[in-house]
Amino acid sequence: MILRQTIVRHGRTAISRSTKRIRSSPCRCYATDYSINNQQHRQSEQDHQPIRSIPGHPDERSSLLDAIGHQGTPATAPIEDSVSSSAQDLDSLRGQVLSYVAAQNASAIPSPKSYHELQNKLPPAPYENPQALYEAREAFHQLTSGGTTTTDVYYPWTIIQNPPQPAEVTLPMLLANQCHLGHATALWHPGNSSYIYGIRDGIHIISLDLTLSYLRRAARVVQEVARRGGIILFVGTRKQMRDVVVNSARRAGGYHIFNRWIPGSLTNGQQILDRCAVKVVNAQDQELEQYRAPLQSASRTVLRPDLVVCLNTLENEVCLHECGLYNVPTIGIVDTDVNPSWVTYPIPANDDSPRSVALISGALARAGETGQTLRRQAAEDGKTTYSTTGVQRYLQGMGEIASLNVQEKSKEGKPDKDFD
Amino acid sequence: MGRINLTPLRVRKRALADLQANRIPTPPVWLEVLADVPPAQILTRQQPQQHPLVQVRTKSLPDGKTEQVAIAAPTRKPKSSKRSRMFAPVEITYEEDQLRKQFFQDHPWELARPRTVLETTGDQHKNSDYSKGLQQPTVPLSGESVVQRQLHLLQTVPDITTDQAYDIARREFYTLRRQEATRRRIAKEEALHMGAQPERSILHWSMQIENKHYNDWEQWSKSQVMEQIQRSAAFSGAVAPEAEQKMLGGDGQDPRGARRADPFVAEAASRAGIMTGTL
Repeated sequence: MILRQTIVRHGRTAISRSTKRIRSSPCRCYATDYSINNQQHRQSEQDHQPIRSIPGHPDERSSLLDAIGHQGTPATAPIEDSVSSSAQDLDSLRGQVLSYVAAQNASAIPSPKSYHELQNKLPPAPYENPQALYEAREAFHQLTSGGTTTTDVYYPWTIIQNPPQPAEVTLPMLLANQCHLGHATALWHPGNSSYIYGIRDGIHIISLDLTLSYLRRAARVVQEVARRGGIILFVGTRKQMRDVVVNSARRAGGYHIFNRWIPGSLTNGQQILDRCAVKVVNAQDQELEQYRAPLQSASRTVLRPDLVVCLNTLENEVCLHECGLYNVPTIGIVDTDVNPSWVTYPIPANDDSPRSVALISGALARAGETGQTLRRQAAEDGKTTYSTTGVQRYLQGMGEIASLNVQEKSKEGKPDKDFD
Repeated sequence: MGRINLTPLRVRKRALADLQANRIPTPPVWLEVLADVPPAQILTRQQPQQHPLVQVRTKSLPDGKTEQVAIAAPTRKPKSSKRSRMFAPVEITYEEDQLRKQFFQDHPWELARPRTVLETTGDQHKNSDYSKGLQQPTVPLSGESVVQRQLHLLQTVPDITTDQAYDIARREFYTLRRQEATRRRIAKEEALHMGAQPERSILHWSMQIENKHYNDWEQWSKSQVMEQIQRSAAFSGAVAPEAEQKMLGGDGQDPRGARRADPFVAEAASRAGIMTGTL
């Protein structure tokens, strides 16, 4: 304290003793230029700090003056009266405003509910499929919506339910659907070198312009085979591909395998598929019932697909090999680790992403749909887009063997197609 | 199943041969289709696509005009000079890679922000124009915006250095992030003022769980202590409260004082980590 007074008297600004220990002069020091500039001599944070804040908040009705315990004098009485009356006015006004706001809120806005309260109303997780999750989210949105809408949302089933036409597929679409992602460079099959654009982050990137051109080529084949009434078989034996395979086959008017290709389905088909149901239909796809009995009684050769579309080529080598043996053309998604010589029409693309597979398969299915439509249109005009002599000859032979009274020159339409 | 199986490619050839040899009665429906749309050539080894690093820069010329030039970096020497590697694909490199690396090295927590990597249509960046700034329609603000803006500056502003472009881009980014934070804070204040009930925080839930564990533990420790007392009482016999007081020699208003002195109880309590006085 003495030190401080001295300093003040001398008109200097300096800090008094610090609690910090100074090595050279442990107890006290005097304020010099050295000590002012010396970091060690400055006041420590541990030192007592005076309270500098003003008591009370400016919005509070108390003020600094209240702290002074002066009694009012007759001279200050009118001022105090006016102050208190204005404070009362303010109070009443505040009360009015608050009640008005409360009334407005009560009438306009429903009472707010907590997030958890609302969430308890929804069906609990886990959800069976993405669509169930979407519906739950929609329901939640209905509960909580405050006039907002979400746009540009990704729905996983859109690509399955509404795939694009092969002509509508674009490079950005392929990219967004992850068709360009290949496998780690160590896993590649060198036969794919012409389909690979480059290496990025340790994986091969598939060239999407090639993917697009190969996809269109394959789609053309699917369309033509469908137009000629050929049997198209979609094979995708991964779990994630089930919806894709089934929807694609339905759309293309074809058939599907989604659990397992039974080895020998082609090479030993007479044993494996002998009991499968077969029907004879006319050009308008209506069943000809007179062939039902002979088909059931007589032994017949097993039907074979005219085109096989394989979505996971790597796992279906046996299937593709059998197709090769039995002279069935194949279309396959060829990732960078797959041998492209396994299939007739390779489509270089990512086969591990469900989106990618759905896009490729969906585009092929659309092509098949177009082909079926063309076939049906021709049938309406009384034409067939394919030769019926083979089927006629087969039915004739079957009829002779079964020695049944089958009307070969059927009037209602030409027996042309077999369904397995 | 040899290594290279050309059977699938030769289906048409074989079908024609079969037909000629009367092995099949009728031509398959796809025979003409495969003639119209033949399979593509496969297993052709072509030279891999090269990806040279090209930098586009604008230079000012002595006559005051500017010129945009593309500078191709010298191609790197391949890792292996083996002839078998001649057809192997090469690494794809872009100029952004380096810019991105620098930005995320300087701002590592930008990577911790939630970001949507899923694309819907692939046309997200179609309407982007980085001459107008960082914020683009349909592209949320992220470190990638900084990189793209920096690249645009590097390509268009005459004689700009990488660091200058980086400074300009990241300052714009900081401003936008500040605005975002302010907007979010005000929105929260507004919502709370209007009576919103925010979801309980993770801290709240964890505190609840912790409290539950403490309560369970308290119950358990009480039962343990009671057990110990009963056991010691069975061993030494029940002691009357007055005798207890005498034994302790204190004023002993609180009968729990006796328990405090009991060595078994004290041990049990210390093991349980609580003060016996509270029991």
